[in-house]
Amino acid sequence: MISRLVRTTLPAAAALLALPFIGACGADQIVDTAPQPPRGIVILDGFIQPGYTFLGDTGSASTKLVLGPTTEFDAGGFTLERDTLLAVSSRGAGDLLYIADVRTSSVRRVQLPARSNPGKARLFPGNNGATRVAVALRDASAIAMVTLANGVSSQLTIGNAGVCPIDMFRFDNATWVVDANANCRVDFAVQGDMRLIRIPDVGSVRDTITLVGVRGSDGSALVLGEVAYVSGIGDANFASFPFSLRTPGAIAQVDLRTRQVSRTRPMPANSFGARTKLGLDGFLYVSLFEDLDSFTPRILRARADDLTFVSGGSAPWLALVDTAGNPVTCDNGQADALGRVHCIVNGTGSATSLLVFSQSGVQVRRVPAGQGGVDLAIR
Amino acid sequence: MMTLLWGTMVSALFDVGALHQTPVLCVQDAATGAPLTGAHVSYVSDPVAIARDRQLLVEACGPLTSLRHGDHVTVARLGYRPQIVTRRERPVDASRDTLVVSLVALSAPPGTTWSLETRIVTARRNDDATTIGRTTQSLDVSDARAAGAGTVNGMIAMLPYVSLRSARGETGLSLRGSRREQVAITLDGLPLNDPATGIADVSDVPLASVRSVTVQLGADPVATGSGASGGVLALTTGRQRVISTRLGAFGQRQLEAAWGGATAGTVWHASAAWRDADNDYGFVNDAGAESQREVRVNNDEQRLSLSAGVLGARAQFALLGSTGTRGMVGAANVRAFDADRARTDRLLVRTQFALRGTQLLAGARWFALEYRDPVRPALDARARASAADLEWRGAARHVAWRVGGGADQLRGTGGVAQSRWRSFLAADRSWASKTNGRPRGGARTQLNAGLRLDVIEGQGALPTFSLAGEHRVFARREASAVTLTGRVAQAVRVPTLYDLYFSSPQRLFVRTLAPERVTLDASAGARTQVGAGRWTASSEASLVARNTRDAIVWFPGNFGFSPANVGVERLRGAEGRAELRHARDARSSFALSSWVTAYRSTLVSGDLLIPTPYVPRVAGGGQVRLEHGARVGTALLRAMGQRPFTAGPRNPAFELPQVALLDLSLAQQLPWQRFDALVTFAVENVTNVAWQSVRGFPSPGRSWAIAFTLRHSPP
Repeated sequence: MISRLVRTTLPAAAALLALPFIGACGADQIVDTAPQPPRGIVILDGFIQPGYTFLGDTGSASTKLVLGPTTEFDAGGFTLERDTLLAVSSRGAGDLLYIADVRTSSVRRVQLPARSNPGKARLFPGNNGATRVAVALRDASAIAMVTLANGVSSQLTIGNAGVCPIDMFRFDNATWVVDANANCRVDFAVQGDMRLIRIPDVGSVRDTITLVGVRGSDGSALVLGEVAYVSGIGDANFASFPFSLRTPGAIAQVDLRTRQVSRTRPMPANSFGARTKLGLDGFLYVSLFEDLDSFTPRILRARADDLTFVSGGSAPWLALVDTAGNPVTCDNGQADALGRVHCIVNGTGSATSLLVFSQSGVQVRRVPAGQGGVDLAIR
Repeated sequence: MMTLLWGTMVSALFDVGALHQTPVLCVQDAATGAPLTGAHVSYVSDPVAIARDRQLLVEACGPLTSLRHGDHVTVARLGYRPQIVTRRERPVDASRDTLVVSLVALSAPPGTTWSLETRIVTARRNDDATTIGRTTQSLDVSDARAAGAGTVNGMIAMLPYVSLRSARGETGLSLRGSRREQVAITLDGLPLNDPATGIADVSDVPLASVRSVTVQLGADPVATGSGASGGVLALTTGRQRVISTRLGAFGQRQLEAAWGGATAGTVWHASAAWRDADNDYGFVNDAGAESQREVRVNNDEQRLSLSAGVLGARAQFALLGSTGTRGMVGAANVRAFDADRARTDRLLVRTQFALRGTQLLAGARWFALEYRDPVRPALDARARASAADLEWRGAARHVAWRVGGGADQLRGTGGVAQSRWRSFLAADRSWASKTNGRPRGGARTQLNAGLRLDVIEGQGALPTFSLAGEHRVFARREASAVTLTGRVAQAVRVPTLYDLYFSSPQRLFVRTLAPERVTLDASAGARTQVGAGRWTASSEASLVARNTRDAIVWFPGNFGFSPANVGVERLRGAEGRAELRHARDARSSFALSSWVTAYRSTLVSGDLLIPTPYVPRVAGGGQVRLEHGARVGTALLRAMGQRPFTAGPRNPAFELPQVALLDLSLAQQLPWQRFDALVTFAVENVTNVAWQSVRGFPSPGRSWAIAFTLRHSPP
């Protein structure tokens, strides 16, 4: 009952919330409340030949939008917002912001401050037709506000945005920053729980919400209505072998009105690397490694309201199988509005395949999808 | 009918009957043509008599000071089979002729014919068994200096068929469309390849200690062993007496010296080199949001190298040590490495002893790398790699044999610890037909077959072989000849210690790396040589093919790149070279040479077709050399077609553009008493082409250098 409610109402709510932003950088068509198949799938090829691979919901055809060589692009993830693809290169690849338009298959680079080590970029509402992109500058402890208008870019910086800002979003006339609270300038060592910092547009008073139990040098935030979901990948020691886990990843549910953490859901014991996406079916999809021995990728489905896992089996993660019933492991999972889980897997030679599973977890599609895939988004 | 020539003492015959001047003897390696110093000369009036007198040749060439009418001369050197030089029909014209004696290494199989005739020194084909059927080219350091080379890297860049690239000071070499870890580099036979990475860096080998460099294309499983899938680059040291200084663009300063002598029946030598450069050249940074002109920073380097050696009648000891620091400049648009530094230290030691007609060799290599990040000291890293080798070689009946073993070790930051032992047994044999000589010419056929078995810890037994042949048809005195060549081989490259570490369980999959196996390395071609008066022309062309199974290629893992055995790598191609020489007299000559390679090297992995990174489909070069009196002018052209820089499918967006580079040099010789002085002015990249040998790392534009070299001339 609850899940049905979530499946049917949350996409609509999300679409309504998104309406004010439409027009800033491309516009979707009017959202139909009935679940629709995806308009397309975008895969980020982060290694070897960085770029986006675009696929349709059916068929095996794909097209590629090149971003640049690995000396100029090294992102492990991207964001898709209203037909705009945002990704950044770190300090090791030149501190660049890449803004791509899915409709025109074009890309634009913006130079960010040198050695600022960008972490994640988000589309923010712009004024007077301008496009505004926020970028978390991890080594600069700042948020860059990049405004694009008439082919010219300008930048403003919000300083003192935590120890290592990794993500941000807008809510209620404020910029909210996810602080990894890690030593990103040196070795990304986790220094404590992650924090959510509220920086109001007016005034100098900032609020800091400590996300107890949520740790990691990387993570992300997504917002549904007045609730933010902040996830951290966890904390592990990779400096020596065998690797050791200190804290698994976790998700915190934060009520943005009350500025309180509603609940926190740790990921399964021994797991590492929680990266969370909002499925178009209203569930949260978390991709992680089962443990630090095998690094087996797993996908978890969680309810947005109480963060409980929905797996359909004894294990917390989704039991995905091929048509012969053999178990399949996959990474970067996200469901479309029909509840089909899309994910990617890299095989020999880092050849990437897109896999699609039915609601019951049976593989219904497997197509080549570029090489060196690291992230996926459904349009 | 093929005739076995093992045991036949092939002799150079000469008569010094009308001896008014002292003839000069030059000793060289039969395989590479490299001059050999430290040869012992014995004078006897009869081959079975006791030597009347003995002489140590400190240099590769020296006068036969004790030669008398009717003498026989035995030339011996450690590591080589001795040669007896005896009477010949044609008298020596001591004022004109130089006796060139080619000594065959103990490691080469007996039975190969070689020519030791009295002649004027000219470039000649190598006749050693290890070069049968192979494309081989050598370059002498004197020629390289005259053409503007100031470093070993610069010297290598002048060789045909060689593709050289460099990003942060280290060099990568590709031969016959190979990946850089598929090339073996040796220094007097000692491998220079770092056991940790499989890559050899010759940047810190002082030019003053080098006599020649030879490139041999194609897999060399028997002589070199693992890692020589694409070919071998062989450096030979020399005992020069030279001092050289060089100044150039971008703060380049260099000083090197070498000296040698003879003491108590041994030849010794020592060399030292110091090099310093800012390398702060300008470039166009097109990797950012907008193209802009910048200057390289943190690209400086300082190197100090020392070498020493002692050569006696029964033992030899050699040492090469170097230390260098440099800024670890990042890619063109990356500022994060502007403070990072690296220091590399290297020590190579090698000894060999004569042991009852066999040779015992021992060598050790030690490499150290320290990486310093002042901004993030926690990221400082160090690695220590070492290797030890022991080898015993000799010849029994018709077969040259080698047996040896060794161990490799790696220790590094982060708990990196790898080690392994290895051993091998190799044998090869040559056959040669009798020279079917006729007054107007003749023909000769040579075959060489070799087998090798490597047993390496964790990799099992790895058998390899090579089979090569040549059929040479020549005119009188071999001034003109046509040679048909063919060669097939199988080779192996075991995973490096880094390969093994990064493929271990902390990566995405628990997997054991298998050796990379060249299941077929084949070449077929022809060489021609035509001599007419003062003109000589030569050419060679080959078709080549190589299939490599379980290629070890690094692809992304979950925390970076990890090596994996990936599919099959196929190479098909052709390579050729032509040269034209004209010598008007002893002081005026003209030489024109050009080479070209065309390779299609593709890794097939599932649905992916991945061209081998940095292998251009077409590459070539040419050289024009004019020598008139004491002046030498050289123009060197190098050209590369488009070449991929990623391990991904062919995509023009991930290819470096074609480039052509022109270097010019002018050298003036200044004959001084007891010294030959050479002043060289060189301009590299004359047309100031903006290019990259490694994607993201700009190479210098036009640059200049002036060098002054003093070479001691024995009286």
